[in-house]
Amino acid sequence: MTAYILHVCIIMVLFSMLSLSLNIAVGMTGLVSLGHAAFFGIGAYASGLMMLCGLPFEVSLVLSGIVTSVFGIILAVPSLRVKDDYLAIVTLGFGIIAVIILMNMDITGGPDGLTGIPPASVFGVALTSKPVYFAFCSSILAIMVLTTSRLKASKVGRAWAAIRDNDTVAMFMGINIYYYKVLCIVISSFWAGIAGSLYAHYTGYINPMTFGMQTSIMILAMVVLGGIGSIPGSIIGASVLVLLPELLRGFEAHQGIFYGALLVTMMVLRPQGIMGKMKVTDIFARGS
Amino acid sequence: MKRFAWVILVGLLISAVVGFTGCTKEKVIKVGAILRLSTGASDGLPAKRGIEIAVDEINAAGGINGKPLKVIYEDSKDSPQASVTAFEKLISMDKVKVVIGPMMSGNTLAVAPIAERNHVVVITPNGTSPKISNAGKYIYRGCTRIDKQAEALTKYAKDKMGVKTVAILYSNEPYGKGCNKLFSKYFNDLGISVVADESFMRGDRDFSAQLTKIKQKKFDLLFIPGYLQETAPAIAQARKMGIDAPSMGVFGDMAPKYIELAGNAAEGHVIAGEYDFDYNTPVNRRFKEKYMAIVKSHKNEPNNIMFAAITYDMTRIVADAIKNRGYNAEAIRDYLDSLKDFDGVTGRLSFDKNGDVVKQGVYIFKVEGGKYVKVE
Amino acid sequence: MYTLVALGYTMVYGILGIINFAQGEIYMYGAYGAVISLSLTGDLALSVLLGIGLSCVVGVLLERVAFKPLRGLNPLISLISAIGASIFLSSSARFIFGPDERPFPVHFESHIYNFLGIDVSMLQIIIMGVSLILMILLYIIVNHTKNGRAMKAVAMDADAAMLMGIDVDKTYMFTFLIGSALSGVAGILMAVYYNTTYPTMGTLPGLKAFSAAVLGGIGSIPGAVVGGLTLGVAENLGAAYISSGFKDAFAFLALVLVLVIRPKGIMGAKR
Repeated sequence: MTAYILHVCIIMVLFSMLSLSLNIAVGMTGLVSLGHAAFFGIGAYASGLMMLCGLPFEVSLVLSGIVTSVFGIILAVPSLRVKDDYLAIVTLGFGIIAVIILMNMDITGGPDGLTGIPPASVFGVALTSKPVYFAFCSSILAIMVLTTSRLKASKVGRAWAAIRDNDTVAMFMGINIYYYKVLCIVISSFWAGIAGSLYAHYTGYINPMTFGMQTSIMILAMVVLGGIGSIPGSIIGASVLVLLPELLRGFEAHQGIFYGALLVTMMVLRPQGIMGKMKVTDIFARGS
Repeated sequence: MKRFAWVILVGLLISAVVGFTGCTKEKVIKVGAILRLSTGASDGLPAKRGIEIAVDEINAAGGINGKPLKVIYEDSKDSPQASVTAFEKLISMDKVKVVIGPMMSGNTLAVAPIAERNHVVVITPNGTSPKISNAGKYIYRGCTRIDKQAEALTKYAKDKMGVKTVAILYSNEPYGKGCNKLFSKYFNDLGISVVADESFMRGDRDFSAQLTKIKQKKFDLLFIPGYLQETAPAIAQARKMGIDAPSMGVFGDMAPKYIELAGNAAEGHVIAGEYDFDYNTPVNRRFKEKYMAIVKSHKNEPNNIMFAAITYDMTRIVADAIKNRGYNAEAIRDYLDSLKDFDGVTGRLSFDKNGDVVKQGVYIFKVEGGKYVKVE
Repeated sequence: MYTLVALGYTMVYGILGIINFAQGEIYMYGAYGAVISLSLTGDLALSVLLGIGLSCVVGVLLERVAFKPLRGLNPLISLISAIGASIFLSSSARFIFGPDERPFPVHFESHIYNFLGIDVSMLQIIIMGVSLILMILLYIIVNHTKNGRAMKAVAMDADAAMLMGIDVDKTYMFTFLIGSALSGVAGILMAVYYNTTYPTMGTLPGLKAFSAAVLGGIGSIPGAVVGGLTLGVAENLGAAYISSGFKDAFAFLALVLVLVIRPKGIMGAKR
């Protein structure tokens, strides 16, 4: 009984990280990304491969975050020229291309995925017990939450908010929007990569299907559901959307019908998200 | 309007929780099953039927040592993550010791480490990757490994069809890619050269680009490994484009649906399958009758007797194991390892040292007159 | 061929400002409507009409339930609603119609004509012809009818349009109606061409059409056409000359490249 519950909890924590990392881009800076799962995947594969090559976990974890940020920068440079909804498409494209590449490369195991990924271990002690891993991931999540709220309240956060509200005005106000946008993407992808690493070493097996568009969209849904721009919201949104399919188990194959209906209903009933505020700048369409 | 919507939301949530916690504590023997019930239901639903037929038979005969057999079904949603979560739920909440499924190699490999750690027997009815053989002591499979299929099919191509050159059009995902690599190797080993090698994605319906490239070469055989939703339209299109070479596929094509979708293009198609419809034993005759009755009364449901046959056999084997040795994983394993000549509808079955099922060789089928007929 | 669905997308987006992820599902329902009515009535013309009718019904319902309450809010919210709707629609289709594929029981004479060195089948000609006719029709509707001009007005400035006496609500509904009808036709054509109908047939085309609409410039009708053609060509060329496994990647790669070079899409948009 508890093993199952812990398993679900661990998944909730990992997706909370993903949701929060996406919220940094979407909610705080106004950069819409429909390909976030690609960062998740890059982190997972990077970390998995590194440990398979013999690197210790602590190193793999951090390195995979960094590797993911590098890819984030690669994505950022061209996409900064593009606005709003067009940005969404570019990120969508990036996500799809990333998956296709993962599926076709042999080092990544191709479509068969990577098997036998060693579990995480700190100071040589393998973290295979669920309660311990849950605690470990939760502490990383806590670090993430703390750093993010700090950032939000700092000069960086204010710059991001200005960019989100209207980046032309922000530019005129003297804010270097390119720098802040790139910074945002670097941080956002870093955390997504970390989540990927933690995921890979938990499940022991990863394959490209897990990191595709469906997952990207789900992460975005978690952000919106929880409240765009709200830190606790991301965690709640992630938890709800991870928990929902589990609660719907009673319905077997009809889960999809209820899941879809519930999603629509929730958006219609509370468009600002669970923790969101009906603040003009947060939720009303830009420029309308 | 909004209030009404709230009522619906709450209602849905309540029914969800009720459905979820509705696990009763009766005196039953619970076994788990992870099948493709939503995406891929074309394969998963017939597999479920196979299990249901077996369970009905077993319970009608008094159950397992007096206790009824109950199978808890979970949906693999074609996702390793969902399969793993389903598996965790089955072993942790329902406390099952044996799971029939998952139905795809990727998902099977995903649950394997967990099964090994927790000592739960996993029998995949149709995961074909060779990696499954080495996935663990508790991992078994109810179908032929893809490389054994490759061996048999390529030999048949050379010996009985006189093939010297082959063009391959494969599905670009784990199954298709694996088949491409594997079959290419076996073809080459027999001196048959692969002159063209193209791929498509799942969900594709237009293969003109790939087929145009293939058409430029000369070949004796067109091999199309993948799932029938794509392989059937592929062969239909190939024929439309004037490609005449005989075709070969893998066991996913062994379904009435393939013939339905491919139409006349299916004629002459050669595959390796797991179940011979015409296998003449009392067990099979009874099974066929029951399955066809279900197909008749459920017109909208996918019809694939092969998947049902495999799960039917596996369920009966599991029930026998529990009946004879008691309900724990090691006992079931011992029973499976020592099983000899089980009277299954898919043949006389036993398991080899890797946990792979052994029948009377690999069955090869060919479409003749719109039906699959066993030729070897 | 992506053009038709792209047109549906572009209309909805250009005028309402929302990305309707569920457009692909509307396309799918159109196809199913036709297939089912065909097996019931055997009359091709009637079935096509019923199919289109079904997709329109689904489209309008979708607009009323999933989009209307969210108007004026951050488009991301409507996006998630659209996704929920898309999941709901494909799951219900699977539930109602069964997960299997259905062949389209109509046979067209498979004449293959040779046109400037390219083999073209009769069916492809029919599809291109229908698409062309619909595009012309759409152009006429948008530019020369009262409702059409109302759509353009609302697209430019919804508040001003309202002040001028245009019923904005009705206009939105009308937009969806046309967009859905287009998708429905596309769905039926696809079902006939590939001889197959199945619950998830709308997902991938929906995505590609969306890309095509953006490629050509969202909000621009000729843009959608150009986008659709470009996407189809790029995809097939890429497949022919480089690895065919990467076919989909090419479509998107082309998209990304174009957007980077010309952020407003090929034909630009007034948005």
